[in-house]
Amino acid sequence: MNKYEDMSAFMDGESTPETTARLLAAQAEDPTLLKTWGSYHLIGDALRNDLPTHIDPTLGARVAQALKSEPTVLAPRKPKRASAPLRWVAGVAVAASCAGLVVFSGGLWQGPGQGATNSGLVAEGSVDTSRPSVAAQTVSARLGGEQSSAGRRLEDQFNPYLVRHSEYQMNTGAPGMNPYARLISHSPERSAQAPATR
Amino acid sequence: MSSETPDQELVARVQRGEKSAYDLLVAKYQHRIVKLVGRYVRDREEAQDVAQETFLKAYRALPNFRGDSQFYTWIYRIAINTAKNHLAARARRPLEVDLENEDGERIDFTDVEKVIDTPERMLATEQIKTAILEVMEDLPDDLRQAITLREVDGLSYEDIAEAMDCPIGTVRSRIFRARDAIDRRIRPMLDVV
Repeated sequence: MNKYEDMSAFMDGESTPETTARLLAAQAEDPTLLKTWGSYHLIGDALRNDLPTHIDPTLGARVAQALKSEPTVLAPRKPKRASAPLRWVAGVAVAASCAGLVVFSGGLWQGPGQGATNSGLVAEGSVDTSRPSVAAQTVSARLGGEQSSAGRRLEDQFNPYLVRHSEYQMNTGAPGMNPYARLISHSPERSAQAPATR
Repeated sequence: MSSETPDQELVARVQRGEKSAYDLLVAKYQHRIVKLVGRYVRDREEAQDVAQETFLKAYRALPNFRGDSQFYTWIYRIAINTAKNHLAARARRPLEVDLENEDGERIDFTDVEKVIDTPERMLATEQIKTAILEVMEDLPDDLRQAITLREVDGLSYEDIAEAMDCPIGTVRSRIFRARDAIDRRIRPMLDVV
């Protein structure tokens, strides 16, 4: 079979991988194959009425010329998927690691358990739980009438968030950054009567 | 047969750095893209330029083409966007919208084309179509039927073999011989330019 017949079969999707590989390797070196390919497709387009009213036979050559100044494109390689048994083993290994981590960290955090709870405004409404934490310190602050209404609004929005966050954090048993972070809050009502807590 | 379509095969090769494979994709789709762009851009030469720009944009974007859609669907969208951007840059509106006469009647696209100069390198499709039809008329029945079932009806070689009651190898040969005969007739027209 000649290369043009192979080309004809390839454009119809009726070529073997070996023939396709041989054909495309030859095409890179043989410009007549490209012309034939273009002509065969032109015939198909004409028979299907897919041609514009005028055609420019130089368009392909102009695109090829413009592409010469373009850097060659390279798609990132797709990572190969591991075989099914290998994926199963990997899954088991990850699960075992996670389980080990949970057991280890559970023992670590349940051990101490004598830390002080957060107190003050942040601790309001929170569950009583023991957790390693630095003790909350009470500080005095007098803001009185200096506090702007905008500041109060911000406070109203921020305080519940801090309370919820603190509760959630204690319920999970993981202190995270909490023992090392100071939660600052202010209640205007309290500030008039008692020192604000920190 | 290969499990990949010709487009998938060619796209994969371009993505591996084979520029020559892209030439085949351009040669395959150039006329369809020009026809598509021509619905937006009225000037023939401008339509060719927009088509060229479409192929360049597609080449640059090809590393990101994952094959979720067909290559033609993908480049079709690029062509439409390129045509619209071209119109926006020229502050024009698409042909379908602004080609109305004083009475608000649509002007026939073919009438408009007649008043636009055509560069010498361009060929009137009618000439090519006429030449192709002449060859088709002269082809033996089995060749004409085989290429029609393939190109117009889109049948696979296997289906054509069944329809024509002949081996697949014969179908392959008949389609090639039909294409070859037509190619010999129109090639001089394409090479003149």
